[in-house]
Amino acid sequence: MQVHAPIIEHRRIADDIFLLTLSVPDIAGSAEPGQFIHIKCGSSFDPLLRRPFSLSMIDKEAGNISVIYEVRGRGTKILSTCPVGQTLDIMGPLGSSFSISHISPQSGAVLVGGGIGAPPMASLAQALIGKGLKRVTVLLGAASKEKLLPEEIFTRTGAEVLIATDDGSAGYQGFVTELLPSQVSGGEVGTPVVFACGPEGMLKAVGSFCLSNGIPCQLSLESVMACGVGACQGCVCRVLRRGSVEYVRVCTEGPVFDAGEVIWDD
Amino acid sequence: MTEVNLAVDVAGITMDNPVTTASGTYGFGLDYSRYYDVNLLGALTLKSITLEKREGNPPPRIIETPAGILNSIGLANPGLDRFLTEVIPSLEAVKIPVLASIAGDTIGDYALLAEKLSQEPKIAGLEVNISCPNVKKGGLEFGVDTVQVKKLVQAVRSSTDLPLIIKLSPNVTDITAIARSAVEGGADALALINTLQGMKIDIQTRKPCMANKVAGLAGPAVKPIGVRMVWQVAQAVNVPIIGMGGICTAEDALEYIMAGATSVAVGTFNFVNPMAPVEIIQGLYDYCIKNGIKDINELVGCSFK
Ligand SMILES: Cc1cc2nc3c(=O)[nH]c(=O)nc-3n(C[C@H](O)[C@H](O)[C@H](O)COP(=O)(O)OP(=O)(O)OC[C@H]3O[C@@H](n4cnc5c(N)ncnc54)[C@H](O)[C@@H]3O)c2cc1C
Ligand SMILES: Cc1cc2nc3c(=O)[nH]c(=O)nc-3n(C[C@H](O)[C@H](O)[C@H](O)COP(=O)(O)O)c2cc1C
Repeated sequence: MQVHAPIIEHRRIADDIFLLTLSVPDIAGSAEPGQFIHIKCGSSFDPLLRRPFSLSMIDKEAGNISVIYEVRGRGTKILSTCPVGQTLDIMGPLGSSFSISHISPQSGAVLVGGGIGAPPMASLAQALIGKGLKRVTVLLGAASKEKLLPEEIFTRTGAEVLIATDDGSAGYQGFVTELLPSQVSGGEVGTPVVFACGPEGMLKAVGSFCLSNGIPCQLSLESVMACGVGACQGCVCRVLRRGSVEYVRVCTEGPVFDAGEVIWDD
Repeated sequence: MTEVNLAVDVAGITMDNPVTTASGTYGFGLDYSRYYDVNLLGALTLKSITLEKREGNPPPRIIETPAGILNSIGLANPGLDRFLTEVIPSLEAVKIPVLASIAGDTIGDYALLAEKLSQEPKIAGLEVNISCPNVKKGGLEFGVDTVQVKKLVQAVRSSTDLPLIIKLSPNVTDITAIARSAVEGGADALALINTLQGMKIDIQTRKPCMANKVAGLAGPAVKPIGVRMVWQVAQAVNVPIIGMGGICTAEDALEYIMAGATSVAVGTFNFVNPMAPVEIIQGLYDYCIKNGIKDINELVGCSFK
């Protein structure tokens, strides 16, 4: 659906990174972790297209949704200046969600969030814990301490958080993917499941590690999008389906894909 | 809606209002059904199809430009067979006229597509996308050569009795010459404009951004060009025109109508405001009421009459 949703919270939470909460009960009511909303940033024709952002929190009771975004270019710059009280023209919820219905409460879940790909891991952690999973670990990666999302966004869902920064200014020094092997090996819990969202290099690393270790893994992909509803065929990625490689739309078949079906271009 | 007649006739296709969708910006008609009932439109124009399935071009396929987008989709479509077995049955609830759009590498492809689609009662008319590389002519677009256009249209004409709408490429020196060739070949109506050739260069890699290098520009930025071309063509030929290129609002649609378009298509702006087509229909009605226009057809081509 398309709605004009009032901003009820909008603040800077890290270097060039903002938390935006909208009151929009209809979307909050039906949205699932992994899905995104398509926001019109500003009312002019330049920038023309909407900008997609993953839902980072879905509060069905209060009827609110949040996104966390980084100021990257013109659209997000304009968005960052919108005050509380203003309404935003949004479409959503769009796209596929993380598939969690089949996951047993005995499983451990490891959620890998790199950079500005980390936000949807908060709503996912909340949903998994809501399902009764006892051990949900978020591996939170960022370039540096300044770019790191506040830990409590994830810890308040009940998840455990491990941090890695490229420069070592917070947590483990190195890529967040380097924390993955120790989290999925051994332990008291059943087969772990892995979810990841972040830069392409990180997704490739997480995907191939999980595939070679037989660990089920779902990835949330990014792509430049126009319509967001499947009409334009603009945002495709390559997947293996029914034995053949084909382009599918990130906005409708995705953004969440099984790691085993994603074909990376080198 | 009483008092005002918004209904128009395009080559024997009766539309309750002048608004349709621009091919390729509305998928196969159902992607926007969560936003409004497609039956509110005057007609539904579908994504171009080819004989065989096409995967389309590698990404990036869309690049934003000032007030526009460059696209290089590469005619990604499921091909004729799946169009007939999957797309057509999915349109059962669509009661408005459905226009299929066809594209091909050779004149024979177009003729065969036209023939096969003629047997399909759901299709009210054929839009022929001639902005495709002509494989037999070294990849030059069919739509840029008067001789090829006439040959192509004649071949399609003799393969179908369906109303034939030829969609013109704006990438030509004289659009009226191409329009005349299309009409001589047997076109019942014309649609224009398709996208304008454009390019974006990545200054880091120092190479064109798109795999196909050249892409198609559309959106609000191209509207003045579309309006000018419709205005020229409307005075050069005597067939109805479906006008498009950057239409976002009822005011834009009115410009096209006054330039000579009987019908108008919303393209890129669907991506920005999914409600645009229905808001435009309402806006046309409001304009007519406000200005004492009893029939929207009175406005068609009024800018030069
Ligand atoms: C499904 C999905 C979910 C997303 N979720 C989030 C989120 O939760 N938080 C967040 O901050 N961002 C998210 N993004 C990315 C976000 O949409 C882009 O950062 C945003 O569109 C940039 O807009 P802009 O106008 O500020 O930048 P532009 O001026 O358009 O571009 C600035 C720079 O960012 C790059 N860029 C633009 N769009 C994208 C994109 N889609 N992916 C990667 N790089 C891009 C451009 O190449 C350019 O270098 C998501 C993207 C997708 C497809
Ligand atoms: C993403 C995209 C895909 C398109 N695909 C087709 C197509 O398959 N066939 C066609 O005839 N035109 C196609 N077009 C051209 C549009 O139908 C239209 O002629 C053009 O975009 C100008 O209108 P606009 O400025 O309102 O978008 C496409 C345009 C866009 C933006």
